[in-house]
Amino acid sequence: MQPHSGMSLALRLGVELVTAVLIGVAIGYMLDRFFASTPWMIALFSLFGVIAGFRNMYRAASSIPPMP
Amino acid sequence: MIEALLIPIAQAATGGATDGHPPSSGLPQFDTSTFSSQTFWSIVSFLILVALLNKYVIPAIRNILDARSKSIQEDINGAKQSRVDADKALAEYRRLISTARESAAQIMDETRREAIAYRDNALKTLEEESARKKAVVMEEIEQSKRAAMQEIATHAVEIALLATEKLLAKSVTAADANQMVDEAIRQMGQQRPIIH
Amino acid sequence: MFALTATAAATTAVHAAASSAPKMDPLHHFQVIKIIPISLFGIDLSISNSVLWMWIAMALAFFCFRFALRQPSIVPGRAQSLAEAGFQFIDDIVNETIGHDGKQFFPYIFTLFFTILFCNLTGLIPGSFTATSQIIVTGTFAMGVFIFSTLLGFYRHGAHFLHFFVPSGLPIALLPLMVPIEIISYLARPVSLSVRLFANMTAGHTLLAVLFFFTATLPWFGAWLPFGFTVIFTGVEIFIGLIQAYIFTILTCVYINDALHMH
Repeated sequence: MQPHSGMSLALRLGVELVTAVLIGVAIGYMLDRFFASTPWMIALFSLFGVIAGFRNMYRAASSIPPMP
Repeated sequence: MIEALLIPIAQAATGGATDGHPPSSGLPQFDTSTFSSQTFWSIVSFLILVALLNKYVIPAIRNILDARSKSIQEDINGAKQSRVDADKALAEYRRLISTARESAAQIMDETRREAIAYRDNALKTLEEESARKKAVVMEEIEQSKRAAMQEIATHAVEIALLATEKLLAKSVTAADANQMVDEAIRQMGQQRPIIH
Repeated sequence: MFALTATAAATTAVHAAASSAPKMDPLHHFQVIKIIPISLFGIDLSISNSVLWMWIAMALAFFCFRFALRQPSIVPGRAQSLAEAGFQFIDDIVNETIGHDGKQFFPYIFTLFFTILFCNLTGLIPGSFTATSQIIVTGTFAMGVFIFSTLLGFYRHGAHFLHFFVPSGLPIALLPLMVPIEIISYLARPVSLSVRLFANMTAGHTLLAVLFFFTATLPWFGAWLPFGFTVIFTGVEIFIGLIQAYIFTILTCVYINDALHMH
């Protein structure tokens, strides 16, 4: 059971990072289109996305208890 | 909104065509034409299932769990009660036993006292009886002693009379007198059994 | 991420095998096919194989519980014990994650867990369809959780709920940096929730489809190896289906708890 739990946690954490970056990119892309400021906003928000992703990964690692 | 943003990105990531039609090489999951029906039915079915489970399943299980914890509680209470009862019964038995013991001791005491009293009584009676018999016997002995003395006194008088008689009949020497007294005594001794 | 890679690998396998005689298309398992076309006000509300199998999974979940509870007794039989264990499992998650005021959400969380679990598991039946391998289905549930917990946060705390995006004890100068990060990480919740479940189901079922294809097409002396793998991976998939339903449920509870208590 243990290795599977580790695998699922790894899967979980990878998804956290990817989705946060995707959200950052999407917000930056929209802001760039709105302000016609390509590529600044997408660059800035990609960075934010990466930080938010790591933050979520950290949170996820500490919030998911092992399955009883 | 987020889904709508994600889809083109994901489609690009998986190499699918972005024209919205199901491409043979892309994931069919990103075919947006299926989205409205699946969203609608997911929501509707989910809410219906919530209602069904909430009506027919969740209360049933909760009732069972409650009933079980209640029955366990009742068992515990029952066990406590029977323990109290058992303790009470034990105390009652102890009390009965000690009462019985007390009364037995009392009976034994009484019996012993009675026995002692009976024995003392018997001893006293016996002593009195023997004392009484002893007194009777003593009296008899005294009486016969007194009779014997009387006899002796009577015979002594007779002897004296006889001796006097003989003395008077012939003059006697001192030796003769002695011989006569002896003879008289001998005669008295021969006569003695006749007295009794 | 891993799951997506696996999917990509499976897709590559499709291309490699496409030239050989029996056509293998593991992704056709995810093809939504309309069964009863319905259209309302120009919106397509057709009953598809996805919807049908979701209903089958839900009906199975419901009737499994009803079967287990057909003769409820204080001393449970095997089925009733299992139903009670499932109930207790969710009850424990709700109590430990949300606390006492989580009771009111219990029916929703209970239904969510068993819907996802039964969709994941019925998808393993050959010839079936896995509703949870559809991003729009997992996305609907995830968005439902997201919208529900956000509204709950505003309902409980009013505008004060916005403080959720402002980490306490931070210098003012760092706020322009931290607030967007907090907002992004908050918005990422439903996406990661839905993508995780969808990706896991898609990857697992694609892999199983490929293995099943090999088992079915290879001659008997070559088929035992993929067959063995199919058996093993079916076991793994059952476990993953359970784990994913568990993760979805516990994260739902975490998000509701955040909305209620603003940690």
